[in-house]
Amino acid sequence: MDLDKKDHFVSLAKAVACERDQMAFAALFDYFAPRLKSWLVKRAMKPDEAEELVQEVMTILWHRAHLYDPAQSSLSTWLFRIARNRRIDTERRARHQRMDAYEPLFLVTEAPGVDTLFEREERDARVRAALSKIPDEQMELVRAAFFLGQSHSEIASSTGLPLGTVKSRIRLAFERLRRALEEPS
Amino acid sequence: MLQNLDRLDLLIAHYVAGSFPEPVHVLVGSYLEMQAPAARFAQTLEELAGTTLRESEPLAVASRDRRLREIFASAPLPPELEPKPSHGASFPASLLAYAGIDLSGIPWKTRLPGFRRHVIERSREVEASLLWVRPGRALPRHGHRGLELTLVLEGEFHDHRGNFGQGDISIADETLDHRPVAGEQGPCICFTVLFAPIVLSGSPWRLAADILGI
Ligand SMILES: [Zn+2]
Ligand SMILES: [Zn+2]
Repeated sequence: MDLDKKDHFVSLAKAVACERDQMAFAALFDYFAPRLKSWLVKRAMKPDEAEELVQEVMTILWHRAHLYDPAQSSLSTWLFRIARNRRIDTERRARHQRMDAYEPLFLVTEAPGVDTLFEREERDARVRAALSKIPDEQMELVRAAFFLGQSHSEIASSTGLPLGTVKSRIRLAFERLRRALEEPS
Repeated sequence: MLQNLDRLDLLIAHYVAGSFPEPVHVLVGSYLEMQAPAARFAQTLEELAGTTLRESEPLAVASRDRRLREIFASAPLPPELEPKPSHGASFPASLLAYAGIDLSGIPWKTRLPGFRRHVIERSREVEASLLWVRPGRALPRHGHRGLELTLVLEGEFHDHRGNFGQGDISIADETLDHRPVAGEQGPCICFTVLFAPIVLSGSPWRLAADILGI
């Protein structure tokens, strides 16, 4: 189900890149724009500003879909990175009115060339196995950190858990993930 | 040196979420360029963030049709800037793009004998700068009123916690007092971001000697 959805997004992105297919783009917009907006609003952005930023992100998809490489990441990850970087960039522009043309934050750190596709697939399988063993109670807290950017104390106050519990659960989950990544193949 | 692993994990998690101001985002991004295992960890968290986004609850877009029309009518974006391969330098591309300079052209200002600095940006939140320290030179002992992140770009330094080599991040905060000393092998060049000014500490004689660099 989830894999089908991912493949579907990849073919829509390809149609946007190669055929400038507006219907395909609208389908991607209807799926991702409301979810990006929801993420930005959860990150304390005002709804109308969030929509402006979502439009910027989707404009990048419209013009640069050919730069999306399905072998490197899923489309949702690619869009997430663009939205994250645009959000930081918006804050920078608000602070500095520094309007120079460079786009440092669009450079995506992919650690290129370090792994072969085979190594990546093997590693992904290890990570999936490690993830399936991480209890939901740990995963939920870790997600608050890497998706919403909440600090330990923010997570503690939003979940009502003691700070020590939050810290140790997050540490355990990250340790598991790291170990899965570092295991020699 | 791998100390504070859980703090580093959290640093990477917050980088992935995009919760840092630009200079810190660039510092962690530079670190990821220098450390392949950490980059893999970050990529994994990014994939997880992408999955979470895909599976999250939508929030209706108010002016969908107008936005689609504007996107289709928008002018093509300028071509993506390629990170310039810096001649012979090993500086991370994201740092070079952010600092807007290349390694040979850093406009250093001498702060103390054997200690040069170039401030890249100073805002209300943070101060971001490049540091150059002569081999073997000690920096005056100091404490911190906020977070101090230091990425070693070239050479190494040590303090009572241990040794920090190329591509290592030192995380210091209010609880830490230290006297960093550059390694003997060559100058130590660092990228550092401060959330609050440092405070000099330690004995006045030692301090005077470290300020003079003797
Ligand atoms: Zn310090
Ligand atoms: Zn020593």
